[in-house]
Amino acid sequence: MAARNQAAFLALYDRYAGRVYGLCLRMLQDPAAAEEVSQETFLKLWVRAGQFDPSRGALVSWLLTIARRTALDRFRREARRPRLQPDDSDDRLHQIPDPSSESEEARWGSLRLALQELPEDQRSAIELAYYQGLSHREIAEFLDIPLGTVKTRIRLGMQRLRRLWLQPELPRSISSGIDV
Amino acid sequence: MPPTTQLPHAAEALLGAYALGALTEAEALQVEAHLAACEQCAARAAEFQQIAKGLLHLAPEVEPPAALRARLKAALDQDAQPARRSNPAGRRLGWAGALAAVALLALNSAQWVRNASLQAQLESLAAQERAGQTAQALRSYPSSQVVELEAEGIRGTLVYDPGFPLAVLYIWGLEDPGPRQAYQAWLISADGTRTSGGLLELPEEQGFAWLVVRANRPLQDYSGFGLTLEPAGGSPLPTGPRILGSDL
Repeated sequence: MAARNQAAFLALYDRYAGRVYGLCLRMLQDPAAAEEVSQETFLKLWVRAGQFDPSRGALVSWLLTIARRTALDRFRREARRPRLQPDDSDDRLHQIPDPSSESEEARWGSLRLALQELPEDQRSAIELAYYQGLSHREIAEFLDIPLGTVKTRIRLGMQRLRRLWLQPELPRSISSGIDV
Repeated sequence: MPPTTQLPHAAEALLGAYALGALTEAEALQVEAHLAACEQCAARAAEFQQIAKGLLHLAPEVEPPAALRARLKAALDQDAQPARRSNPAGRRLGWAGALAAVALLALNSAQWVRNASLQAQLESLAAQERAGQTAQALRSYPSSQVVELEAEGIRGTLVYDPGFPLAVLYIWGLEDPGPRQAYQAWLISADGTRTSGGLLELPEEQGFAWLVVRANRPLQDYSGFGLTLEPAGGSPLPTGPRILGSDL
């Protein structure tokens, strides 16, 4: 049994290690740190595999979520900032139907394109927040621009991503119907 | 753009930043309070959250160094040894066993040191899960007791049910004992006998630690609890300074 678990674990590792390591490298921008965070991520998978609920999404998303949190914890331990992450285990977040029947890869591809379509200032504000774990105040300091400007860039950028990525795919019947 | 105010929908302007985790705690709480009351914004927040999740997938795939796989495999090999799976849960060895295993590995030969620290990391994660689950389970018993512990600069909580040979200790503010010493928990019987309740591991870079204290008898058979500083690996009986203690 244990041996089988191990084989399964290593198969998962072989399949997803590149995704996890790629995200860690993207966030930490340091190969040694990325390797350590990847290691911790897979150890968490080994220990917490029982907590994974397939009905809530793909294993790779779960792994990448753990990897990001682990990287952010590392930033926090290095005292880059104390902050709160929205809890994405919230049930509400899983009630949205999958906006498309495309393959996962195609979906991420279209999000990548949508991100590339954003004005550079909006895109970089979003990336600093998400991949570097900076709060909008920290982004304002980092870029030396007013806080209000950062808030606006993030707000407009996220609204635009939503329009570009989610809305064209949303059939009328499941659209939330809000247009702000 | 309207500035952030206490207006009902002011939180709406922050939904994108909230999904990205870019808000301060106070702002995030403000948003959460609004989301609890506003279905429209909750639906919008869910969409932004979906975008945030999508961003996880955009980093290009990069092959990690082969050494990472080898280290993980070695850690799993250690974790899976059948002799160490004899506890009722059938999954992971007990706390004391874990420490003993780690110590043995470390002694075995220098080449094991890296695995040992990996193993310790793995066990520490497993123990963290266990401590959380055990404390949760204990709290749900109507007869469970919570003892607040306090000493100089140290605060702690001991959760136990008098009918079970088990308690969970949470503790804040302990100093790192260094490699040669360890904190050891003790259960004190009415006749003064001290029984080891296990060794406390201090996770790196955190002032917070926890321990599932395992006793031989139900906790109602003990009259006190204590924590002492002992040589690494623990002592059969307390020898070092008492860090804190409490009547049960």
